[in-house]
Amino acid sequence: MHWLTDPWTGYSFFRHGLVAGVLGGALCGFVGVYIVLRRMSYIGHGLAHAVLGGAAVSIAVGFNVFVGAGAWGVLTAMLINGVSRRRKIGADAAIGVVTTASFALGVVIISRGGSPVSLDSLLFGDILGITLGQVWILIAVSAVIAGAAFLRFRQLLFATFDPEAADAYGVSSRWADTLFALIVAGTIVATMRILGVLLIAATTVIPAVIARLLTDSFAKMLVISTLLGAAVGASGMYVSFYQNVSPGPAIVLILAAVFAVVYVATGITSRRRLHVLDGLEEHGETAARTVEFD
Amino acid sequence: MHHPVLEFRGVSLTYGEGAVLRDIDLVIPEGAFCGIVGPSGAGKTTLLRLMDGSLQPSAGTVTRGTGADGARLRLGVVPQLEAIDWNFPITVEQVALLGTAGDGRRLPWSSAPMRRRAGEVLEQLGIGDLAHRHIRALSGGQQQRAFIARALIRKPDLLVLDEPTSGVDVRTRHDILHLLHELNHDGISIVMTTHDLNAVAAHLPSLVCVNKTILAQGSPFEVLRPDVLQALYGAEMIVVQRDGMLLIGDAFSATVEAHDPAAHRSAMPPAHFGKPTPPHGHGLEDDPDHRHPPARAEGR
Repeated sequence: MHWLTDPWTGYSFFRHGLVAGVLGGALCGFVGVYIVLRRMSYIGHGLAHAVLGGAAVSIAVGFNVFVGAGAWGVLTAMLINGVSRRRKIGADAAIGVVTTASFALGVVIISRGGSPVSLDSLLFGDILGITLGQVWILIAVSAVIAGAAFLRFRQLLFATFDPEAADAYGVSSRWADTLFALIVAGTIVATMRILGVLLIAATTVIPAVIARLLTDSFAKMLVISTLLGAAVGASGMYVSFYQNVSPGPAIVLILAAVFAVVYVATGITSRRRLHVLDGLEEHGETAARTVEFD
Repeated sequence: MHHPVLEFRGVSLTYGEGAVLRDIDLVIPEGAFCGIVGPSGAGKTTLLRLMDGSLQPSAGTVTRGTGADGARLRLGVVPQLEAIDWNFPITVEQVALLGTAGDGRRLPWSSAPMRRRAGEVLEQLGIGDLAHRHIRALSGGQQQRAFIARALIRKPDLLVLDEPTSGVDVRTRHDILHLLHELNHDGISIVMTTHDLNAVAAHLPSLVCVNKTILAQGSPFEVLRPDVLQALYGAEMIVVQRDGMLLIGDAFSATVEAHDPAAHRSAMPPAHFGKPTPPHGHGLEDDPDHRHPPARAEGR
Protein backbone atom coordinates (compact mmCIF):
# COMPACT_ATOMS: atom_id res chain seq x y z
CA MET A 1 0.00 0.00 0.00
CA HIS A 2 3.02 2.27 0.02
CA TRP A 3 2.27 3.33 -3.52
CA LEU A 4 -0.95 4.84 -2.17
CA THR A 5 0.46 6.60 0.88
CA ASP A 6 3.93 7.65 -0.27
CA PRO A 7 2.84 10.49 -2.59
CA TRP A 8 0.40 11.72 0.11
CA THR A 9 2.94 11.82 2.92
CA GLY A 10 5.86 13.00 0.83
CA TYR A 11 4.50 15.83 -1.29
CA SER A 12 2.24 18.71 -0.23
CA PHE A 13 1.42 19.51 -3.87
CA PHE A 14 0.05 15.96 -4.21
CA ARG A 15 -2.06 16.31 -1.07
CA HIS A 16 -3.61 19.55 -2.34
CA GLY A 17 -4.04 18.06 -5.81
CA LEU A 18 -5.64 14.87 -4.52
CA VAL A 19 -8.17 16.76 -2.38
CA ALA A 20 -8.90 19.11 -5.30
CA GLY A 21 -9.20 16.19 -7.73
CA VAL A 22 -11.61 14.28 -5.49
CA LEU A 23 -13.73 17.32 -4.63
CA GLY A 24 -13.67 18.77 -8.15
CA GLY A 25 -14.50 15.38 -9.66
CA ALA A 26 -17.37 14.85 -7.23
CA LEU A 27 -18.73 18.36 -7.81
CA CYS A 28 -18.59 18.03 -11.60
CA GLY A 29 -20.14 14.55 -11.41
CA PHE A 30 -23.00 15.82 -9.23
CA VAL A 31 -23.79 18.92 -11.30
CA GLY A 32 -23.33 16.92 -14.50
CA VAL A 33 -26.48 14.89 -13.74
CA TYR A 34 -28.62 18.02 -13.99
CA ILE A 35 -26.72 19.23 -17.06
CA VAL A 36 -27.13 15.91 -18.90
CA LEU A 37 -30.79 15.41 -17.96
CA ARG A 38 -31.61 18.95 -19.04
CA ARG A 39 -29.90 18.11 -22.34
CA MET A 40 -27.60 21.08 -21.82
CA SER A 41 -24.23 19.37 -22.27
CA TYR A 42 -23.38 21.75 -25.08
CA ILE A 43 -24.19 24.80 -22.95
CA GLY A 44 -21.94 23.47 -20.17
CA HIS A 45 -19.18 22.93 -22.70
CA GLY A 46 -19.65 26.41 -24.14
CA LEU A 47 -19.81 28.14 -20.75
CA ALA A 48 -16.58 26.45 -19.70
CA HIS A 49 -14.92 27.98 -22.75
CA ALA A 50 -16.55 31.34 -22.18
CA VAL A 51 -15.30 31.80 -18.63
CA LEU A 52 -11.73 31.84 -19.97
CA GLY A 53 -12.54 35.32 -21.28
CA GLY A 54 -13.82 36.38 -17.87
CA ALA A 55 -10.81 34.91 -16.10
CA ALA A 56 -8.36 36.63 -18.49
CA VAL A 57 -10.08 40.01 -18.19
CA SER A 58 -10.21 39.70 -14.38
CA ILE A 59 -6.51 38.85 -14.19
CA ALA A 60 -5.59 41.64 -16.62
CA VAL A 61 -7.42 44.32 -14.61
CA GLY A 62 -6.40 42.90 -11.23
CA PHE A 63 -9.88 41.76 -10.20
CA ASN A 64 -10.66 38.58 -8.23
CA VAL A 65 -10.57 35.76 -10.80
CA PHE A 66 -13.29 33.66 -9.19
CA VAL A 67 -15.78 36.49 -8.85
CA GLY A 68 -14.95 37.92 -12.29
CA ALA A 69 -15.10 34.60 -14.14
CA GLY A 70 -18.27 33.60 -12.28
CA ALA A 71 -20.02 36.85 -13.15
CA TRP A 72 -18.78 36.48 -16.73
CA GLY A 73 -20.26 32.98 -16.89
CA VAL A 74 -23.68 34.16 -15.69
CA LEU A 75 -23.59 37.13 -18.11
CA THR A 76 -22.67 34.78 -20.95
CA ALA A 77 -25.63 32.53 -20.14
CA MET A 78 -27.93 35.57 -20.22
CA LEU A 79 -26.39 36.78 -23.50
CA ILE A 80 -26.96 33.35 -25.06
CA ASN A 81 -30.60 33.56 -23.96
CA GLY A 82 -30.92 37.04 -25.45
CA VAL A 83 -29.33 36.15 -28.80
CA SER A 84 -31.38 32.98 -29.19
CA ARG A 85 -34.64 34.91 -28.69
CA ARG A 86 -34.23 36.11 -32.28
CA ARG A 87 -36.28 33.54 -34.14
CA LYS A 88 -33.72 33.12 -36.94
CA ILE A 89 -30.95 32.14 -34.49
CA GLY A 90 -31.19 28.86 -32.60
CA ALA A 91 -29.79 28.38 -29.08
CA ASP A 92 -26.99 26.12 -30.37
CA ALA A 93 -25.86 28.77 -32.84
CA ALA A 94 -26.06 31.45 -30.12
CA ILE A 95 -23.83 29.32 -27.87
CA GLY A 96 -21.38 28.89 -30.74
CA VAL A 97 -21.16 32.64 -31.36
CA VAL A 98 -21.09 33.96 -27.80
CA THR A 99 -18.86 31.40 -26.09
CA THR A 100 -16.32 31.15 -28.89
CA ALA A 101 -15.97 34.93 -29.02
CA SER A 102 -15.46 35.02 -25.26
CA PHE A 103 -12.91 32.19 -25.46
CA ALA A 104 -11.02 34.00 -28.24
CA LEU A 105 -10.96 37.19 -26.17
CA GLY A 106 -9.40 35.27 -23.28
CA VAL A 107 -6.75 33.70 -25.52
CA VAL A 108 -5.85 37.09 -27.05
CA ILE A 109 -5.47 38.80 -23.64
CA ILE A 110 -3.36 35.98 -22.18
CA SER A 111 -1.18 35.48 -25.28
CA ARG A 112 -0.35 39.22 -25.35
CA GLY A 113 1.07 38.86 -21.88
CA GLY A 114 -1.84 40.42 -20.05
CA SER A 115 -1.96 37.58 -17.53
CA PRO A 116 0.58 36.13 -15.11
CA VAL A 117 -1.20 32.77 -15.44
CA SER A 118 -0.11 30.60 -18.38
CA LEU A 119 -2.56 29.85 -21.15
CA ASP A 120 -1.79 26.13 -20.83
CA SER A 121 -2.76 26.02 -17.17
CA LEU A 122 -6.12 27.66 -17.92
CA LEU A 123 -6.82 25.45 -20.93
CA PHE A 124 -5.73 22.11 -19.46
CA GLY A 125 -5.69 22.80 -15.72
CA ASP A 126 -2.85 22.91 -13.21
CA ILE A 127 -3.97 20.60 -10.46
CA LEU A 128 -0.41 20.17 -9.17
CA GLY A 129 -0.11 23.92 -8.74
CA ILE A 130 -3.24 24.22 -6.57
CA THR A 131 -2.64 26.18 -3.38
CA LEU A 132 -4.20 25.49 -0.01
CA GLY A 133 -6.29 28.66 -0.39
CA GLN A 134 -7.72 27.40 -3.68
CA VAL A 135 -8.54 24.07 -2.03
CA TRP A 136 -10.51 25.92 0.64
CA ILE A 137 -12.38 27.89 -2.00
CA LEU A 138 -13.27 24.62 -3.72
CA ILE A 139 -14.47 23.15 -0.40
CA ALA A 140 -16.62 26.24 0.24
CA VAL A 141 -18.14 26.23 -3.26
CA SER A 142 -18.84 22.48 -3.05
CA ALA A 143 -20.52 22.90 0.36
CA VAL A 144 -22.73 25.75 -0.88
CA ILE A 145 -23.77 23.86 -4.02
CA ALA A 146 -24.40 20.63 -2.10
CA GLY A 147 -26.48 22.56 0.46
CA ALA A 148 -28.55 24.33 -2.20
CA ALA A 149 -29.12 21.07 -4.08
CA PHE A 150 -30.07 19.27 -0.83
CA LEU A 151 -32.58 21.91 0.26
CA ARG A 152 -34.03 22.34 -3.23
CA PHE A 153 -33.75 18.74 -4.40
CA ARG A 154 -37.42 18.19 -5.25
CA GLN A 155 -37.87 21.59 -6.89
CA LEU A 156 -34.75 21.11 -9.04
CA LEU A 157 -35.92 17.61 -9.95
CA PHE A 158 -39.34 18.90 -11.02
CA ALA A 159 -37.89 21.79 -13.04
CA THR A 160 -35.44 19.39 -14.71
CA PHE A 161 -38.06 16.75 -15.53
CA ASP A 162 -41.05 18.86 -16.56
CA PRO A 163 -40.21 22.59 -16.61
CA GLU A 164 -43.42 23.49 -18.48
CA ALA A 165 -45.65 22.32 -15.62
CA ALA A 166 -43.42 23.42 -12.74
CA ASP A 167 -45.07 26.81 -12.10
CA ALA A 168 -48.54 25.29 -11.93
CA TYR A 169 -47.30 23.04 -9.11
CA GLY A 170 -45.85 25.89 -7.07
CA VAL A 171 -42.27 25.39 -8.28
CA SER A 172 -40.89 28.58 -9.83
CA SER A 173 -39.19 27.47 -13.03
CA ARG A 174 -37.48 30.86 -13.36
CA TRP A 175 -36.05 30.57 -9.86
CA ALA A 176 -34.97 26.97 -10.50
CA ASP A 177 -33.30 27.97 -13.79
CA THR A 178 -31.45 30.82 -12.07
CA LEU A 179 -30.28 28.50 -9.29
CA PHE A 180 -29.16 25.97 -11.88
CA ALA A 181 -27.22 28.64 -13.85
CA LEU A 182 -25.49 29.79 -10.64
CA ILE A 183 -24.61 26.20 -9.74
CA VAL A 184 -23.13 25.53 -13.19
CA ALA A 185 -21.18 28.81 -13.24
CA GLY A 186 -19.91 28.19 -9.68
CA THR A 187 -18.79 24.66 -10.59
CA ILE A 188 -16.97 25.77 -13.72
CA VAL A 189 -15.17 28.62 -11.98
CA ALA A 190 -14.23 26.52 -8.94
CA THR A 191 -12.82 23.66 -11.03
CA MET A 192 -11.31 25.73 -13.84
CA ARG A 193 -7.80 25.72 -12.35
CA ILE A 194 -7.99 22.00 -11.61
CA LEU A 195 -9.16 20.60 -14.93
CA GLY A 196 -8.86 23.46 -17.38
CA VAL A 197 -11.65 24.97 -19.44
CA LEU A 198 -11.18 22.46 -22.27
CA LEU A 199 -11.64 19.42 -20.03
CA ILE A 200 -14.33 20.51 -17.56
CA ALA A 201 -17.11 19.53 -19.95
CA ALA A 202 -15.84 15.93 -20.04
CA THR A 203 -15.77 15.66 -16.25
CA THR A 204 -19.35 16.93 -15.98
CA VAL A 205 -20.86 14.94 -18.83
CA ILE A 206 -19.09 11.55 -18.75
CA PRO A 207 -19.80 10.51 -15.12
CA ALA A 208 -23.46 11.45 -15.51
CA VAL A 209 -23.79 9.52 -18.77
CA ILE A 210 -22.14 6.46 -17.19
CA ALA A 211 -24.49 6.71 -14.21
CA ARG A 212 -27.48 6.97 -16.55
CA LEU A 213 -26.41 3.75 -18.25
CA LEU A 214 -26.26 2.02 -14.86
CA THR A 215 -29.53 3.11 -13.25
CA ASP A 216 -33.09 4.25 -13.91
CA SER A 217 -33.30 6.10 -10.58
CA PHE A 218 -32.57 9.83 -10.36
CA ALA A 219 -31.27 9.65 -6.77
CA LYS A 220 -28.99 6.70 -7.56
CA MET A 221 -27.77 8.51 -10.65
CA LEU A 222 -26.70 11.46 -8.48
CA VAL A 223 -24.86 9.16 -6.05
CA ILE A 224 -23.13 7.08 -8.76
CA SER A 225 -22.09 10.11 -10.80
CA THR A 226 -20.72 11.95 -7.74
CA LEU A 227 -18.79 8.94 -6.41
CA LEU A 228 -17.47 8.10 -9.87
CA GLY A 229 -16.28 11.68 -10.38
CA ALA A 230 -14.48 11.58 -7.02
CA ALA A 231 -12.93 8.16 -7.62
CA VAL A 232 -11.69 9.06 -11.08
CA GLY A 233 -10.35 12.38 -9.77
CA ALA A 234 -8.21 10.43 -7.26
CA SER A 235 -7.22 7.78 -9.82
CA GLY A 236 -6.17 10.47 -12.26
CA MET A 237 -3.85 11.99 -9.66
CA TYR A 238 -2.09 8.67 -9.01
CA VAL A 239 -1.83 7.87 -12.73
CA SER A 240 -0.39 11.33 -13.27
CA PHE A 241 2.12 10.89 -10.42
CA TYR A 242 3.40 7.48 -11.47
CA GLN A 243 3.16 7.81 -15.25
CA ASN A 244 4.34 11.43 -15.40
CA VAL A 245 1.39 12.64 -17.46
CA SER A 246 -0.79 15.71 -17.02
CA PRO A 247 -3.54 15.00 -14.40
CA GLY A 248 -6.46 16.68 -16.25
CA PRO A 249 -6.14 14.62 -19.43
CA ALA A 250 -5.46 11.49 -17.33
CA ILE A 251 -8.78 12.01 -15.48
CA VAL A 252 -10.66 12.47 -18.75
CA LEU A 253 -9.06 9.40 -20.35
CA ILE A 254 -9.91 7.22 -17.34
CA LEU A 255 -13.51 8.45 -17.51
CA ALA A 256 -13.64 7.68 -21.23
CA ALA A 257 -12.30 4.17 -20.58
CA VAL A 258 -14.89 3.55 -17.84
CA PHE A 259 -17.60 4.82 -20.18
CA ALA A 260 -16.47 2.41 -22.92
CA VAL A 261 -16.52 -0.56 -20.52
CA VAL A 262 -19.94 0.33 -19.07
CA TYR A 263 -21.38 1.04 -22.51
CA VAL A 264 -20.36 -2.39 -23.80
CA ALA A 265 -21.37 -4.21 -20.59
CA THR A 266 -24.81 -2.60 -20.39
CA GLY A 267 -25.34 -3.28 -24.11
CA ILE A 268 -24.70 -6.98 -23.54
CA THR A 269 -26.99 -7.00 -20.49
CA SER A 270 -29.79 -5.30 -22.44
CA ARG A 271 -29.53 -7.84 -25.25
CA ARG A 272 -29.67 -10.72 -22.75
CA ARG A 273 -32.74 -9.18 -21.13
CA LEU A 274 -34.44 -8.87 -24.52
CA HIS A 275 -33.69 -12.54 -25.24
CA VAL A 276 -35.25 -13.49 -21.89
CA LEU A 277 -38.32 -11.38 -22.62
CA ASP A 278 -38.66 -12.88 -26.10
CA GLY A 279 -38.59 -16.35 -24.52
CA LEU A 280 -41.22 -15.38 -21.95
CA GLU A 281 -43.47 -13.89 -24.61
CA GLU A 282 -43.26 -17.14 -26.55
CA HIS A 283 -44.53 -18.85 -23.41
CA GLY A 284 -47.43 -16.45 -23.06
CA GLU A 285 -45.90 -14.03 -20.53
CA THR A 286 -46.14 -10.33 -21.31
CA ALA A 287 -43.01 -8.25 -21.43
CA ALA A 288 -44.51 -5.50 -19.31
CA ARG A 289 -44.99 -7.85 -16.35
CA THR A 290 -41.38 -8.95 -16.34
CA VAL A 291 -39.52 -5.65 -16.61
CA GLU A 292 -38.81 -4.19 -13.19
CA PHE A 293 -36.65 -1.13 -12.68
CA ASP A 294 -34.93 0.05 -9.59
CA MET B 1 -75.30 28.63 -9.08
CA HIS B 2 -71.74 27.34 -9.21
CA HIS B 3 -69.08 29.99 -8.72
CA PRO B 4 -66.44 30.23 -11.46
CA VAL B 5 -63.06 28.59 -10.90
CA LEU B 6 -61.65 30.47 -13.89
CA GLU B 7 -62.79 33.58 -15.66
CA PHE B 8 -61.26 35.08 -18.82
CA ARG B 9 -62.28 38.63 -19.65
CA GLY B 10 -61.10 40.15 -22.96
CA VAL B 11 -57.94 38.06 -22.93
CA SER B 12 -55.48 38.33 -25.81
CA LEU B 13 -51.99 36.92 -26.16
CA THR B 14 -49.49 38.06 -28.73
CA TYR B 15 -46.14 36.54 -29.69
CA GLY B 16 -44.09 38.96 -31.78
CA GLU B 17 -46.45 40.42 -34.36
CA GLY B 18 -49.05 37.67 -34.46
CA ALA B 19 -51.98 37.18 -32.10
CA VAL B 20 -52.12 33.64 -30.75
CA LEU B 21 -55.39 34.33 -28.97
CA ARG B 22 -57.66 37.35 -29.07
CA ASP B 23 -60.72 38.60 -27.19
CA ILE B 24 -61.27 35.47 -25.13
CA ASP B 25 -64.27 35.66 -22.80
CA LEU B 26 -64.72 32.38 -20.99
CA VAL B 27 -66.08 31.22 -17.67
CA ILE B 28 -65.26 27.76 -16.27
CA PRO B 29 -67.76 27.10 -13.45
CA GLU B 30 -67.03 24.90 -10.45
CA GLY B 31 -67.71 21.26 -11.32
CA ALA B 32 -67.27 21.81 -15.06
CA PHE B 33 -66.13 19.06 -17.39
CA CYS B 34 -65.18 21.05 -20.44
CA GLY B 35 -63.42 20.17 -23.68
CA ILE B 36 -61.51 22.64 -25.83
CA VAL B 37 -61.48 21.72 -29.50
CA GLY B 38 -59.99 23.36 -32.56
CA PRO B 39 -57.50 22.77 -35.36
CA SER B 40 -53.74 22.50 -34.83
CA GLY B 41 -52.23 25.91 -34.09
CA ALA B 42 -55.59 27.27 -32.93
CA GLY B 43 -54.21 28.26 -29.51
CA LYS B 44 -55.68 25.43 -27.40
CA THR B 45 -52.49 24.68 -25.48
CA THR B 46 -51.83 28.40 -25.09
CA LEU B 47 -55.29 28.74 -23.55
CA LEU B 48 -54.42 25.98 -21.06
CA ARG B 49 -51.13 27.69 -20.21
CA LEU B 50 -53.01 30.89 -19.50
CA MET B 51 -55.26 28.86 -17.21
CA ASP B 52 -52.38 27.31 -15.27
CA GLY B 53 -50.58 30.65 -14.98
CA SER B 54 -47.43 29.67 -16.90
CA LEU B 55 -48.32 32.37 -19.47
CA GLN B 56 -49.61 35.85 -18.78
CA PRO B 57 -52.05 37.57 -21.15
CA SER B 58 -50.94 40.54 -23.25
CA ALA B 59 -54.36 42.10 -22.63
CA GLY B 60 -57.39 41.32 -20.48
CA THR B 61 -57.57 39.43 -17.21
CA VAL B 62 -57.57 35.82 -16.07
CA THR B 63 -59.20 35.50 -12.66
CA ARG B 64 -58.85 32.34 -10.60
CA GLY B 65 -61.58 31.53 -8.13
CA THR B 66 -61.10 29.82 -4.82
CA GLY B 67 -60.98 26.15 -3.97
CA ALA B 68 -63.80 24.23 -2.31
CA ASP B 69 -62.50 25.14 1.16
CA GLY B 70 -62.25 28.84 0.29
CA ALA B 71 -58.48 28.63 -0.01
CA ARG B 72 -56.42 29.41 -3.10
CA LEU B 73 -57.45 27.38 -6.18
CA ARG B 74 -55.32 24.26 -6.47
CA LEU B 75 -54.42 23.27 -10.01
CA GLY B 76 -53.36 19.92 -11.36
CA VAL B 77 -51.72 20.06 -14.78
CA VAL B 78 -51.32 16.99 -16.98
CA PRO B 79 -49.06 17.72 -19.98
CA GLN B 80 -49.11 16.23 -23.45
CA LEU B 81 -47.33 12.90 -23.28
CA GLU B 82 -45.30 13.86 -26.36
CA ALA B 83 -43.64 16.61 -24.29
CA ILE B 84 -42.23 14.18 -21.70
CA ASP B 85 -38.69 12.79 -21.78
CA TRP B 86 -39.49 9.10 -21.34
CA ASN B 87 -35.83 8.25 -20.76
CA PHE B 88 -35.67 10.45 -17.67
CA PRO B 89 -34.63 8.28 -14.71
CA ILE B 90 -37.84 8.36 -12.69
CA THR B 91 -40.41 5.83 -11.49
CA VAL B 92 -44.20 6.07 -11.40
CA GLU B 93 -44.23 6.73 -7.64
CA GLN B 94 -41.61 9.47 -7.99
CA VAL B 95 -43.68 11.14 -10.73
CA ALA B 96 -46.71 11.11 -8.43
CA LEU B 97 -44.67 12.51 -5.52
CA LEU B 98 -43.47 15.42 -7.67
CA GLY B 99 -46.98 16.79 -7.22
CA THR B 100 -45.93 17.74 -3.66
CA ALA B 101 -42.71 19.53 -4.76
CA GLY B 102 -44.24 22.96 -4.29
CA ASP B 103 -45.37 22.39 -0.69
CA GLY B 104 -42.27 23.99 0.84
CA ARG B 105 -40.74 20.84 2.36
CA ARG B 106 -36.97 21.33 2.61
CA LEU B 107 -35.83 17.71 2.90
CA PRO B 108 -35.12 15.94 -0.38
CA TRP B 109 -37.00 12.77 0.50
CA SER B 110 -40.78 12.49 0.75
CA SER B 111 -42.43 12.07 4.15
CA ALA B 112 -44.31 8.90 5.14
CA PRO B 113 -47.76 10.59 4.79
CA MET B 114 -46.77 11.80 1.30
CA ARG B 115 -45.77 8.29 0.25
CA ARG B 116 -48.96 6.90 1.74
CA ARG B 117 -51.01 9.44 -0.19
CA ALA B 118 -49.10 8.59 -3.40
CA GLY B 119 -49.90 4.91 -2.84
CA GLU B 120 -53.59 5.69 -2.34
CA VAL B 121 -53.78 7.79 -5.51
CA LEU B 122 -51.96 5.18 -7.60
CA GLU B 123 -54.32 2.51 -6.27
CA GLN B 124 -57.31 4.73 -7.06
CA LEU B 125 -56.06 5.03 -10.64
CA GLY B 126 -55.41 1.30 -10.94
CA ILE B 127 -51.62 1.51 -11.24
CA GLY B 128 -50.66 0.80 -7.62
CA ASP B 129 -48.71 -2.30 -8.63
CA LEU B 130 -46.64 -0.26 -11.09
CA ALA B 131 -45.37 2.24 -8.48
CA HIS B 132 -41.72 1.18 -8.75
CA ARG B 133 -41.66 0.76 -12.48
CA HIS B 134 -39.82 3.18 -14.77
CA ILE B 135 -42.20 5.44 -16.72
CA ARG B 136 -40.89 4.14 -20.04
CA ALA B 137 -42.11 0.64 -19.17
CA LEU B 138 -45.80 1.66 -19.12
CA SER B 139 -48.51 1.61 -21.77
CA GLY B 140 -49.89 4.93 -23.05
CA GLY B 141 -52.90 4.75 -20.75
CA GLN B 142 -50.74 3.93 -17.71
CA GLN B 143 -48.40 6.82 -18.54
CA GLN B 144 -51.37 9.16 -18.68
CA ARG B 145 -52.53 7.85 -15.28
CA ALA B 146 -49.09 8.40 -13.76
CA PHE B 147 -49.31 12.10 -14.62
CA ILE B 148 -52.92 12.31 -13.47
CA ALA B 149 -51.64 10.83 -10.17
CA ARG B 150 -49.11 13.67 -9.93
CA ALA B 151 -52.01 16.11 -10.22
CA LEU B 152 -54.34 14.25 -7.85
CA ILE B 153 -51.81 13.90 -5.05
CA ARG B 154 -52.22 17.61 -4.29
CA LYS B 155 -56.02 17.30 -4.20
CA PRO B 156 -56.71 19.77 -7.03
CA ASP B 157 -59.84 21.82 -7.48
CA LEU B 158 -59.20 22.10 -11.22
CA LEU B 159 -57.55 19.51 -13.45
CA VAL B 160 -56.13 20.80 -16.74
CA LEU B 161 -55.18 18.18 -19.32
CA ASP B 162 -53.50 18.77 -22.68
CA GLU B 163 -54.69 16.19 -25.21
CA PRO B 164 -55.04 13.26 -22.80
CA THR B 165 -56.57 11.09 -25.55
CA SER B 166 -53.85 11.73 -28.10
CA GLY B 167 -51.86 8.74 -29.33
CA VAL B 168 -53.78 6.06 -27.43
CA ASP B 169 -56.01 3.29 -28.76
CA VAL B 170 -59.81 3.38 -28.65
CA ARG B 171 -60.10 1.27 -25.49
CA THR B 172 -57.53 3.36 -23.60
CA ARG B 173 -59.21 6.56 -24.76
CA HIS B 174 -62.51 5.30 -23.39
CA ASP B 175 -60.85 4.30 -20.10
CA ILE B 176 -59.21 7.71 -19.70
CA LEU B 177 -62.42 9.61 -20.40
CA HIS B 178 -64.32 7.31 -18.05
CA LEU B 179 -61.72 7.96 -15.34
CA LEU B 180 -61.99 11.73 -15.88
CA HIS B 181 -65.76 11.40 -15.62
CA GLU B 182 -65.38 9.71 -12.22
CA LEU B 183 -62.97 12.40 -11.01
CA ASN B 184 -65.43 15.05 -12.14
CA HIS B 185 -68.17 13.29 -10.18
CA ASP B 186 -65.86 13.43 -7.17
CA GLY B 187 -65.99 17.22 -7.41
CA ILE B 188 -62.93 18.09 -9.49
CA SER B 189 -63.49 20.62 -12.27
CA ILE B 190 -61.84 19.44 -15.50
CA VAL B 191 -60.71 21.22 -18.65
CA MET B 192 -59.06 19.29 -21.47
CA THR B 193 -58.01 19.90 -25.05
CA THR B 194 -58.55 17.28 -27.72
CA HIS B 195 -58.79 16.67 -31.45
CA ASP B 196 -61.21 13.81 -30.98
CA LEU B 197 -64.65 15.29 -31.68
CA ASN B 198 -66.52 11.99 -31.45
CA ALA B 199 -65.07 11.21 -28.05
CA VAL B 200 -65.92 14.62 -26.59
CA ALA B 201 -69.38 14.47 -28.11
CA ALA B 202 -69.99 11.20 -26.27
CA HIS B 203 -68.34 11.99 -22.94
CA LEU B 204 -68.18 15.74 -22.24
CA PRO B 205 -71.13 17.92 -21.23
CA SER B 206 -69.62 21.18 -22.48
CA LEU B 207 -67.34 22.26 -25.30
CA VAL B 208 -65.45 25.38 -26.33
CA CYS B 209 -64.48 25.77 -30.00
CA VAL B 210 -61.30 27.80 -30.37
CA ASN B 211 -59.47 29.07 -33.40
CA LYS B 212 -57.52 32.13 -32.20
CA THR B 213 -60.76 33.26 -30.59
CA ILE B 214 -63.79 31.47 -29.22
CA LEU B 215 -66.16 30.58 -32.06
CA ALA B 216 -68.75 28.72 -30.02
CA GLN B 217 -69.33 27.25 -26.58
CA GLY B 218 -72.06 25.16 -25.06
CA SER B 219 -73.20 21.53 -24.98
CA PRO B 220 -72.04 19.17 -27.77
CA PHE B 221 -75.51 19.34 -29.35
CA GLU B 222 -75.36 23.15 -29.39
CA VAL B 223 -71.80 23.42 -30.62
CA LEU B 224 -71.12 20.48 -32.91
CA ARG B 225 -73.05 21.75 -35.91
CA PRO B 226 -71.85 21.70 -39.52
CA ASP B 227 -71.74 25.50 -39.76
CA VAL B 228 -69.71 25.86 -36.55
CA LEU B 229 -67.31 23.08 -37.53
CA GLN B 230 -66.93 24.55 -41.03
CA ALA B 231 -65.96 27.89 -39.47
CA LEU B 232 -63.66 26.14 -36.97
CA TYR B 233 -61.74 23.84 -39.30
CA GLY B 234 -62.27 25.56 -42.65
CA ALA B 235 -63.51 22.26 -44.07
CA GLU B 236 -66.92 20.75 -44.59
CA MET B 237 -67.88 18.37 -41.79
CA ILE B 238 -70.75 15.94 -41.55
CA VAL B 239 -72.69 15.66 -38.29
CA VAL B 240 -75.03 12.71 -37.85
CA GLN B 241 -77.42 12.50 -34.91
CA ARG B 242 -78.74 9.05 -34.13
CA ASP B 243 -80.22 7.54 -30.95
CA GLY B 244 -79.16 10.56 -28.93
CA MET B 245 -75.56 10.28 -30.16
CA LEU B 246 -73.53 12.65 -32.31
CA LEU B 247 -71.17 11.30 -34.96
CA ILE B 248 -68.84 13.73 -36.68
CA GLY B 249 -66.98 13.01 -39.89
CA ASP B 250 -64.80 14.79 -42.37
CA ALA B 251 -66.99 15.34 -45.44
CA PHE B 252 -64.09 15.21 -47.89
CA SER B 253 -62.97 11.78 -46.73
CA ALA B 254 -66.52 10.52 -46.48
CA THR B 255 -67.65 11.57 -49.95
CA VAL B 256 -64.55 11.29 -52.12
CA GLU B 257 -62.03 8.89 -50.64
CA ALA B 258 -64.46 6.38 -49.17
CA HIS B 259 -66.82 6.04 -52.13
CA ASP B 260 -64.74 6.65 -55.21
CA PRO B 261 -63.26 3.31 -56.33
CA ALA B 262 -61.15 5.12 -58.90
CA ALA B 263 -59.48 7.09 -56.11
CA HIS B 264 -58.52 3.86 -54.36
CA ARG B 265 -57.35 2.17 -57.54
CA SER B 266 -55.04 5.04 -58.44
CA ALA B 267 -53.57 5.17 -54.95
CA MET B 268 -53.06 1.52 -54.08
CA PRO B 269 -54.16 -1.98 -55.07
CA PRO B 270 -57.60 -3.07 -53.83
CA ALA B 271 -57.84 -4.96 -50.58
CA HIS B 272 -57.91 -8.66 -51.23
CA PHE B 273 -59.03 -11.56 -49.08
CA GLY B 274 -58.52 -15.22 -49.89
CA LYS B 275 -57.59 -15.12 -53.56
CA PRO B 276 -54.37 -13.82 -55.15
CA THR B 277 -54.39 -10.45 -56.90
CA PRO B 278 -54.91 -10.74 -60.70
CA PRO B 279 -51.52 -10.45 -62.42
CA HIS B 280 -52.20 -7.34 -64.54
CA GLY B 281 -53.66 -4.95 -62.02
CA HIS B 282 -57.36 -5.62 -62.55
CA GLY B 283 -59.73 -3.77 -60.26
CA LEU B 284 -62.61 -5.21 -58.28
CA GLU B 285 -65.04 -4.70 -61.17
CA ASP B 286 -63.02 -7.21 -63.20
CA ASP B 287 -63.04 -9.87 -60.54
CA PRO B 288 -65.51 -12.67 -61.47
CA ASP B 289 -66.43 -13.20 -57.82
CA HIS B 290 -67.61 -9.60 -57.63
CA ARG B 291 -69.52 -9.67 -60.92
CA HIS B 292 -71.59 -12.68 -59.95
CA PRO B 293 -73.37 -13.37 -56.71
CA PRO B 294 -72.29 -16.47 -54.84
CA ALA B 295 -73.99 -19.75 -55.80
CA ARG B 296 -75.47 -20.11 -52.33
CA ALA B 297 -77.55 -16.96 -52.85
CA GLU B 298 -78.74 -18.09 -56.26
CA GLY B 299 -80.11 -21.36 -54.91
CA ARG B 300 -82.53 -19.67 -52.58
